[in-house]
Amino acid sequence: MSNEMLLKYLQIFIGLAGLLYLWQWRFKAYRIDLLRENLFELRKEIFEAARTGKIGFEMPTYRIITNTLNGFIRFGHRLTFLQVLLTIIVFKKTNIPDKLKFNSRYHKSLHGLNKEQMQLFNDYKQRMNLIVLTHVMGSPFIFITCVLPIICLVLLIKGYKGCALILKGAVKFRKRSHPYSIHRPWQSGYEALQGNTIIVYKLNELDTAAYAHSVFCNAHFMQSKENLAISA
Amino acid sequence: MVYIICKDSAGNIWLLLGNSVVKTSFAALKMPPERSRNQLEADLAITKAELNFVRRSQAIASFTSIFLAFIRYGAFCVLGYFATKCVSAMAGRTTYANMAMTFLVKMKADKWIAYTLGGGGMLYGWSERRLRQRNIKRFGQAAADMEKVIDPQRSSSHLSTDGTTHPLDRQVI
Repeated sequence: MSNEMLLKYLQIFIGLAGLLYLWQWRFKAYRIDLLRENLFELRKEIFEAARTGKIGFEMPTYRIITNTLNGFIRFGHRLTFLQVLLTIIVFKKTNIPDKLKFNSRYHKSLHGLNKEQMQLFNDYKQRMNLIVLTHVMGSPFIFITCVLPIICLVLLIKGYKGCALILKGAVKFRKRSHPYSIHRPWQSGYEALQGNTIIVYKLNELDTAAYAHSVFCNAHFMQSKENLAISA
Repeated sequence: MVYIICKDSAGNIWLLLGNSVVKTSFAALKMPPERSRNQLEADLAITKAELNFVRRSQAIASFTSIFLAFIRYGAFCVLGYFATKCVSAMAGRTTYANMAMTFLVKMKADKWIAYTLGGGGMLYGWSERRLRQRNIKRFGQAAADMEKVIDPQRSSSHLSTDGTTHPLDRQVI
């Protein structure tokens, strides 16, 4: 084997190691940061709505939504495809009382609110779920196993120009069918989900998990702080 | 000081504070109203179910983190293994690895990997920059809002919100 070949081999190995590092460390960290940034922005918006009086800080729905958001922000690093899949399976196996489920808690808390407030809270909930869904479905595993083969197939069949045309048509169709998409871009995405009740149902399960984790971890954190204060 | 709490049939609470006896109620003490055993048991069952769910989720999280670490570091191990195989092939011992590597070289894999790595790095850098700008925007806005609460006369500095150079400042006067 010549030295030139050895150099090429080394290039391949170093390149592959670099790609692995970029994917497994840097991009994963970036995606978690992006998820948290999106959720923080949403939380800030909800706070602003409460500050300006559109909704109230004392409303139970406000507490539920912010607690769930906090749960997602805190455990954003765990929102991997595998974790979500296993959580959904465990959710099925665990006998969780209806009182604990996010959906029943959320709908119960909506009683007594006016139409605008209900609409606002529903929007926030939909956006939160869409952010989480986008994060989970955009994981590299899903991208490589589902999205990439479809792109390759379309590229093979239609070529680059065909792909560009399909993309253009899709954007045009979206704008035409959802005139409000400029102001409420999440709405069209969520409406597409409405037909698929299974996904919406699973998203509510995720919300329950996030809410439960947030509340429990907060309680645990407060307890630890109290214990520390007592021991001090 | 010793507090002894008793409850009479009328629902009053009697406190013995040192030598004096004080009559009070749950409402006056700002204590939650008394709850029946059934209510407490129902609450306990719900808390137990919630705790059980959180415990199971923690177990899943542990399993997932181990599994992902296995994939993550396993991939590096596989790379190392093939690198050593490559050295063995150099010595003429393993022809199989040599063939695989020759195939990769013929496919110009080194070139494509380098392009992907470079492109991926650029994409990562650009995405991180955008994220940082969004972050600056969020924090900058929050700070400006709070400053306005303290000083309502505060005027705008006309700086760009995302921390980049203001388009007007780019122009040479």
